[in-house]
Amino acid sequence: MRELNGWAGKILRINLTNNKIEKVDTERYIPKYIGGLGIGLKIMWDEVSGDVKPLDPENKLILMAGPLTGTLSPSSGRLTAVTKSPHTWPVEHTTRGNMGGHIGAEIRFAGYDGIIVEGKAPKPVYVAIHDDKVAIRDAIHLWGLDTYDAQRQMIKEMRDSRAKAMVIGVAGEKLVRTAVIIHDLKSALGQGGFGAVMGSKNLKGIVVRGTGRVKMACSPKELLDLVEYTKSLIAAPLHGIIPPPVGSAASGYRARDNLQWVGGPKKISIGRVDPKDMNRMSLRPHEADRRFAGKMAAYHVKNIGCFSCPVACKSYMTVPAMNRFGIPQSGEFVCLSATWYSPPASTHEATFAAKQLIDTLGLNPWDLVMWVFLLRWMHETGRITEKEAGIPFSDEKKGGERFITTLCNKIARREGLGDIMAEGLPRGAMKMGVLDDVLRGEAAGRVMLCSHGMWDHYDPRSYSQVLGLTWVMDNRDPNRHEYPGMVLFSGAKIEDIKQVAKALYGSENAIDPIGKITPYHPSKGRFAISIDHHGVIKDSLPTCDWVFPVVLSPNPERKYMGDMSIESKLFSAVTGVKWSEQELDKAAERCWNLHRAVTIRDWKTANLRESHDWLPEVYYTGLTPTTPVSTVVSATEGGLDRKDFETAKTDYYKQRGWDEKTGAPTRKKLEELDLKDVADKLAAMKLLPA
Amino acid sequence: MNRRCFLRQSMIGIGVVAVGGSVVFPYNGPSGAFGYPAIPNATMVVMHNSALCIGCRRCEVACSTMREGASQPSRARVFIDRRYQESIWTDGQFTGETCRQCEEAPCLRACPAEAIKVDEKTKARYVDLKVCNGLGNCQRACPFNMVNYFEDERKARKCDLCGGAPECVKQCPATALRYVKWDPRYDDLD
Repeated sequence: MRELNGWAGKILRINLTNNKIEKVDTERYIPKYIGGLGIGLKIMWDEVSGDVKPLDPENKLILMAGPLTGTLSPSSGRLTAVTKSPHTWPVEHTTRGNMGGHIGAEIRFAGYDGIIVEGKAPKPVYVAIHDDKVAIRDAIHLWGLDTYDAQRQMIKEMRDSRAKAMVIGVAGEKLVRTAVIIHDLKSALGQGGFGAVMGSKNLKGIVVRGTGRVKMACSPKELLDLVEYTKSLIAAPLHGIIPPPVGSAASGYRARDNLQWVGGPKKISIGRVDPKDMNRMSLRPHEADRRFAGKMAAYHVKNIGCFSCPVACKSYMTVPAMNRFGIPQSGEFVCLSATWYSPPASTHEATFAAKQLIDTLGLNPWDLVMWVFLLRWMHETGRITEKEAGIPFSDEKKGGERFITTLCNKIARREGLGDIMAEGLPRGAMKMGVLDDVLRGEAAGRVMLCSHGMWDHYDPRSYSQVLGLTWVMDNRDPNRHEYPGMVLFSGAKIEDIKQVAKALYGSENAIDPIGKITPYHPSKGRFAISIDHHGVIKDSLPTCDWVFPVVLSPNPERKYMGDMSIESKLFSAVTGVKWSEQELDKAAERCWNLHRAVTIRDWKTANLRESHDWLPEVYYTGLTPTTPVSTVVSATEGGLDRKDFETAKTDYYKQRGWDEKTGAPTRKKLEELDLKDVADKLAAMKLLPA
Repeated sequence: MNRRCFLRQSMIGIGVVAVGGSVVFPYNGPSGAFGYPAIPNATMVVMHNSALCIGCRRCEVACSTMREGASQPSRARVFIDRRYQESIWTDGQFTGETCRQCEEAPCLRACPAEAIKVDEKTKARYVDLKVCNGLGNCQRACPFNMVNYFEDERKARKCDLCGGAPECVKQCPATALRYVKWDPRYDDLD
């Protein structure tokens, strides 16, 4: 195999049934499918049929890095995963996940673009990779360990402290449908139940050490100039460009007068940081400050970055009181992983214990947060008693430590009620007989279950039809932050943001202030399509969702405009495949159409419009969300208009060149995207619209 | 290694032992001891701050990209990853390792081929790759293990401060790496 620029050139294929280890040539997939998500979907389409169940040995766990992973390109140290998901509901369809940390880069330095895990081991094993040496080792001594201990043990057994590991916790071993794979302290392959898939293969984890290199096509100087230009446009995570007090309180850009990190051995004064100061980039965010307004900020030791990321959005915390619970005292968090249990009466210890438990047990807070709201509601309305459930609800008024530790352990170990909860919220609620209440009844305003069986992560009632469209078209919560980044986390004024939206999507109507939705406009469809395409690019190159695409910049001279072509420039520079912004966009469209084809195959119907592309009833009613921790800042009164949203869907399909009646890609579109084989296969299955 | 190369290296080794007889502990003592000429102190040095470091390893990537032409942290001259595991699980105070440009450069003293030289501008100790013959003595001599020896090339690399503008410092997003005036105290700091 010749040495490629950007791509490593090999994908490792590990079959756990017959212990066969193969190296697949990456060149058969590139540049057509870019890397990461694109290649993952292609492998899924080629090798896993629509009838395979997520926890079957025939399902494959595909872990893919991309051509930029491991390079100097900012925030590129990520890993994308594709598999049939046991988490998604009602259909267990193919989904994707993405995680940061260092392991993506380590896989690339070991000489691989990704790892495909297939089959099922007869007994617990883990995979050890040291450059081209790959071994499947016994993991009976690791089975049952928490994720931190298991990783440390695996790294010890590599006899190289520079190795990096990813493992499942107890939840993954017990096949909790929402279990995650954890790497380092908190980097997780979250939504989608990847931990359960790994557990179903009797695979405890993967440990990697790579000493090789990632080559690039351009000269180091060229790449450096491009990287410096990119960094000059990135101010802070979540497109934060203006810090408070000038910017909004939710701004991702936190550095301001008198700001300090106080949780470490010595206080560190941050103060104001100039957006032009590249050597202080990572001091700008402060996740604990943004989230807790003082409660947990006292424990923030420092910001932590993933591999090659100058943005550093993670907050590293040490809470010594954790020793009381037998939980590791240090951990990292971003976003919901720490805030998911923080009702007003809870102590900081309960909040941090909840955070540490999900990471050490390998649980998914996005599902647990719904369970907490549902159980509380069931308890208040007398549907469930403390004794029956075995969960101390009364402890919540006293701080909640006992409540939350009991809940997490019960789910992860599938004990008592936890056995039902481990099925994920929609399936669990169905077993408890309260699914109807969750979808349209009394509990709907609290639990906020959205499409695909996942918690409402950016509510379409607050963030307009744009987020509604990305929600229904995706196979999980879309988790793309352009829209909420622009209107909420940037800290900028809505007038300035509207001008940026006009330049990018053709109209000021593309973006609405939070909770003040205006009727659908075609520019909203363009925005949604752009989010989908840049989403594919982000997961394929990969770059971090919290930073890319660079829609905004902190420069008033640029009218706060970012640069959407940066991804294509970085891709061209590193791989030597000279693609313009449009050409990379075309490749992303190809991958997105393939994604849709995979979905059609999994659902066994071409009519996704009626089945897959739905929002629960509650989004069309005037029910006010009452969830205390919520991504809703203020929902539009009366919710979404059903007719208006159907118009939006029709226009989205039309702009995509898909069949407007069914929402399926047409043969013409697929052939235009060089996917004739996909069209033929779909036609043979009678899943192509006439 | 072919025969000629082996012979040449043996000859150099024997020659050095014969002349000095002091290669075993050449760095024990003040400048100018054992008949060695004194070496000038470095003027600048790269220092790492554990409290500020965010563990992103952009320094390693920048170092290998700019100096080796490809991203490869195992070939960097600055190390965060080597002691990453010992801090990430406990307190997050990463121990970054940088070359201290020692007053009594043991690497320089240990090289029988005199391949490690002192840069005229920064007075940094650097490896002259044209002279380096791959004995690896410098790597063994460095008490901080800061010489990176490439087995495949049979050449050693060490931090040479990039001629006065270290790439790692330029890429550090947290001011954890600083390019500061050299001071003999830095020799002892951990």
